[in-house]
Amino acid sequence: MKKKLISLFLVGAMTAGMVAGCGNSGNGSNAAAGNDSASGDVASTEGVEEGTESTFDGTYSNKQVILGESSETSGDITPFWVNGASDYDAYKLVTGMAPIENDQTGKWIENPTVLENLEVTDNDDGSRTYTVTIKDGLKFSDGSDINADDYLLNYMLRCDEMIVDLEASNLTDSTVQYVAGYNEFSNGESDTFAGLHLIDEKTYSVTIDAQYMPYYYGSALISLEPQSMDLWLPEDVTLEETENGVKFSDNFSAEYIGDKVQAARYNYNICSGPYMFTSYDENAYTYTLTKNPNFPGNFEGQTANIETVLVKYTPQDTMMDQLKTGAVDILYQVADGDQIEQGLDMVEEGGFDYLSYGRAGYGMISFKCNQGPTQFKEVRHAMAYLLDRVSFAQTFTGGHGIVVNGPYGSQQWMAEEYAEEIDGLNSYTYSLDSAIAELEAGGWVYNEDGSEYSGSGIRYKKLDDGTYMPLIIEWFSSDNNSVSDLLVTTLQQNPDVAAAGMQINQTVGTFTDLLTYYYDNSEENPYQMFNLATGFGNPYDVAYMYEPGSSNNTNAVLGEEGQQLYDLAIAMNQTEEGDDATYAENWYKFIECWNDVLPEIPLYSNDYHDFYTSKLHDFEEDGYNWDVTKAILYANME
Amino acid sequence: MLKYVGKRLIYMVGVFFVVSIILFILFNNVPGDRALNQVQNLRGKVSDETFQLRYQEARDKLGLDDPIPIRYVKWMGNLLRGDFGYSSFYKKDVIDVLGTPLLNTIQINIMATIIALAITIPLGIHCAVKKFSKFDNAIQVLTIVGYSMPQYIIALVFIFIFAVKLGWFPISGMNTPNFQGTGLAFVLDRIHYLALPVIVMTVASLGSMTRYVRAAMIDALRMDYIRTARAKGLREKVVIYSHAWRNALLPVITLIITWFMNIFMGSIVIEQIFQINGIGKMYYVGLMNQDYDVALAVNMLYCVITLISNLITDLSYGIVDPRVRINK
Repeated sequence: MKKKLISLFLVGAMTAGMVAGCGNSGNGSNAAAGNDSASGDVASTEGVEEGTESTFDGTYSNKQVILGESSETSGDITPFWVNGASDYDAYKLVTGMAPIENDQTGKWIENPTVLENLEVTDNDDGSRTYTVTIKDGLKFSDGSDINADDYLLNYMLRCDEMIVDLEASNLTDSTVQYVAGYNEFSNGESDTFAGLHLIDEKTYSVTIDAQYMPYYYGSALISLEPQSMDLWLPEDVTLEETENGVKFSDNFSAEYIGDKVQAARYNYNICSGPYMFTSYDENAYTYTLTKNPNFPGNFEGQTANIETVLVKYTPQDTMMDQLKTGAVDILYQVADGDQIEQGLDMVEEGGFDYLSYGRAGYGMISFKCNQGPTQFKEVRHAMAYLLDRVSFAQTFTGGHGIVVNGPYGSQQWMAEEYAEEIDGLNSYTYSLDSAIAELEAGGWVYNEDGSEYSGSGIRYKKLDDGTYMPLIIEWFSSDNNSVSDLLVTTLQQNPDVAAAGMQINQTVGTFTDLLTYYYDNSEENPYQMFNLATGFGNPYDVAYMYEPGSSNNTNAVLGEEGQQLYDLAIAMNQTEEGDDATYAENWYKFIECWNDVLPEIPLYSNDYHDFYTSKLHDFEEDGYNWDVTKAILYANME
Repeated sequence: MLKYVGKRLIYMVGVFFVVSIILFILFNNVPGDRALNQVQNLRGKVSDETFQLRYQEARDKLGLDDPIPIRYVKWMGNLLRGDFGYSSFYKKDVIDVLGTPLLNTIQINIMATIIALAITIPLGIHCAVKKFSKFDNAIQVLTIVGYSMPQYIIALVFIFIFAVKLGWFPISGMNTPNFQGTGLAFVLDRIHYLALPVIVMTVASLGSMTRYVRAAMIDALRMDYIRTARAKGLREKVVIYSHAWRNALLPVITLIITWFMNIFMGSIVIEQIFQINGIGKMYYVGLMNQDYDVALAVNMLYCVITLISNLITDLSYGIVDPRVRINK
């Protein structure tokens, strides 16, 4: 009796707490569609099937799959404001129907389910125009028609000043910046976007600015999906065709569209993708996405098999346990060595499968190449020789990573074609002698007083103005960073660094502070070295990162070597579309030059692992050309 | 009494402003550029000129070029009007960011506080009455262990045992994702999810309160009036609960009231580990992302709660112990 009373009390106390908690329902607070049910069914995700023999009879239920995300979801699904990777995954699942899509190998190809006709015209001024006619009958998830202006809206949203006035900050990408008239429109100098034309209800055109032609990734400029005019804009705001391009109607202003835009951020309920946004549960950090009945299929005509996808935040501390207990079905891009080992053990025990693929990016040391000792290539080389990167990558990734010698990834088709040449790149194998030789060749042969270097202490270099620069490198790293900790022991405190006559001083701060210094290209920046990570996308367009004098050139690679790097990046871009052989050749030349200029030292490139329940079938991704959001379309669930 | 409360309220307002000035100065002197933080994502996406323009706009909007006193007056003016600022991380008003987390924190803390008090007070009294018995010794050892163990260790151990191994509770979250139920089904689902964090919070707080109650009761039971009461032939229950407990309550009341006021304050550790969308977690996220409007708003909330808590504690002394006069 006493036990019963105690149990009753515990439940009573909890219930009292629930009631006292001001009646917060907490479920689907941003619900777009009613998902309440009088039945009170509990869609439990619990239930462990660990190590059990599969009794799968070949019939898929395809009811639901839960995608575990390691970054926190915010509920702001659109990519223009809060830019979380998990929000973006949800966004990618609810957007689709682009006229051009990339296939499993990364090549950009036409999407026949959407495209009625594509006409490519080379203009007299050197620009190129893509005229797109979409098929009749394409519909958004709410049943409304998809028209040409919905496609153009996506271009306009990505660079309109008004959207920035609404605090959006994640706007333009390379899909838009090469379109003719982009600068004038995005800077507010012109209210029309010259490179865009609304030809008729189902036809629009996009023109690449002549200065960027030829452009190898030209087709990718028409890979934008439609954005519903009805969702984003008040009914009386329209896109108008003029002889100078497309413009918003005169009643378009940040103030006028503000409420509608804010509503669209959190209630993105008119979707074009294989799934549609149903609700966001801020207490479960979960997006609920359900199959879009109006999605006609991707470039292969593939529609979603699984009815519901839940995109759920899964903190790293407990992610493997969540997979084990069935709280999530898929964990993707797991990079931590311990977690990978735990996952592989789970696979061995049964009930789980995994995929493994290389990361299209790397952790790195990034240099400022315009000031301090790191402005000299020999210093950057010397530091590379003084770091045992193989051992570093092995230790940091727990054996699940490799060392790369340039900005490339194994999934890139160019890397595959030039695999042999890549193997021949300078890998800066650990060598104190090579480091000293580089420094001596670079003129680091003096003591502080200008006498010949004594063989101990810090080296100096005589500058053009007659002063002597010490070989002291100021390094800024972010706090709570395990890469920084490992760099301290393997590089900063490495006795060979001192033996080479080099000193590295570390300053630790927040990641935000690191970014502040990282983006500061002025010569007054007190730091020359940073450690962080980077990734590259498809299209592989890196020219803007090496444009001399641009703030995007975060390495501040200047002078002859900077120009050379930039020219090669431009040559890569300005390969004729379809000329894969020349592109790959230009790509390798860029990689080879980069490997010599060495604006960054790649430290490790992870072997990512996806772990998922064995109930999931037909799930294949490589994280670069074909990511998890595309792979889910083909997957089936027992 | 009213005069005393009035005086205290005036004092509270003074303390509130002093604390707000200190916090404001501290937050505004943390290294880092908030304006740059807000527009950082525009880098590489707009021209250098546009970026500089946006950066300057952000500085103007945040008033970063104004002297600190002017910035404080503006901020406090907005705060008193109910405008807590704008979250640079979530890109929406702070009041919209903190609303739901505050309710969630209250919800979970009420559960934990009620359960913990219901266990610790009888347990502490029982241990005091049965002082040095085997039961008391066992509880003393357990409470020392519980008291010494960090909350996050308790949380991880409990997750491993009750969620991973036994599968009784979910590992984290506040409800089943895509939960379709309403009414009782919803409440049961919520209880299922919150049970483990509530148990961890309860266990983590058992040690201190149990030992506190026990010590206060032991002191009270040593008093002459207890001996007198027993000599008068009063029943033991009356002696313990009516005479001893009432007198032992005075030192304990501070702790109890603090506990109840803490229901508005989130537990950063618990909310992080169990992924509870609570005020403590928002505070942590705010600090980690230099989202100072959020962090300052939470800090000011903590300040107000602490001031009110102190007032209630002082007033309650007079109620519990008639010897304490609070009307002067």
